[in-house]
Amino acid sequence: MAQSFLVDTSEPAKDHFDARNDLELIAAINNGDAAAFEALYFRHRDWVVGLAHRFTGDSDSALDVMQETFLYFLRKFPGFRLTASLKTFLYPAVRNLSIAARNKASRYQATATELERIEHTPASEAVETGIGDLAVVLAGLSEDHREVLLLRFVDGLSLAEIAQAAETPLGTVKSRLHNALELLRRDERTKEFFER
Amino acid sequence: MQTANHNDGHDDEGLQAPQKLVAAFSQLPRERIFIPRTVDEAVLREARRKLAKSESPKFPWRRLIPHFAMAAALVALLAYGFIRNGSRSLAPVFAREDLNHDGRVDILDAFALARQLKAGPVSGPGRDINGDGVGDERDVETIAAQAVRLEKRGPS
Repeated sequence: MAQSFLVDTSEPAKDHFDARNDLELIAAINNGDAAAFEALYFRHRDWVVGLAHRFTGDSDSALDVMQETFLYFLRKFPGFRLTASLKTFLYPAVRNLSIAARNKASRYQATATELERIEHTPASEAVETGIGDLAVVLAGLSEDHREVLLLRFVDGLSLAEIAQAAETPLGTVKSRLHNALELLRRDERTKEFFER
Repeated sequence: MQTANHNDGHDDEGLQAPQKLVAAFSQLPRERIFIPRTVDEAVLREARRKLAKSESPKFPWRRLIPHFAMAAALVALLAYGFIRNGSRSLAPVFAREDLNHDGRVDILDAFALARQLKAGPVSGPGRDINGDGVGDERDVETIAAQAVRLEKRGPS
């Protein structure tokens, strides 16, 4: 069973475009500018939902986590100071809230309907075999290995940002990434990506 | 979705991913998640409420700090001046003839000056009781006469 690691959401961020960068928006929010918070919310909402979905595997839980994450972020104002990228700041919050949501959800057994839904996720209907194989292999990796690959090649975080977001030493991040790539390289289903 | 240049120049060797793999990541299956407008509104409504509260003008206490400091310094200065001057006014004032500072002009003060004269010449306005510019036996007599006069008068 392959899991989908990316999400498509309704109301894309482009409808809420704001030319200011994150630092400028945060400065405005510190001055009480609610419109600046709205711009920042839509700018990062989809990424937070996608990340929460990666951790929880459930759309409803992902939405709850997304809401809680932004409410947690809102409580930092006024006086919030961004010292790294906003993704780096939000990542631990999303992860921790997702773990809590997942633990809460695990109390309930999956129903037959839910199992059927999982069986027919878009991942199992991948047009390209290679991509489907990648999803399957990723699903079989440990969470640490999978997460470092997705943060690096899907979310575009630098190694330093991953280390800060995951609250892990940079050396450990590099080691995990190296080992994860090595696993993909050795797997029959994904080694083709490494062949010239 | 970011697919461009995930292998930045600062990446260590062995941490590079082939472009084919990077492209494959961007094409991973996607879950369609519908985000109800109510979900967005709940967050944004809370943001509007909280930020409106934080924007409301507060009394600029900080601007008054220099004024408070000046006022405190002025009070301290006045208090110092009061204490210094007050201490002087509280100090007991003795009559010029009351050489032993016992609060009375009597024969003991005459004896005190006589003893000082016996030890050697004395000078200073505190010893020139009669105002002739010199501290001598005539000043002793002046004190003695004063003492007798006071005794004759008796307590009033």
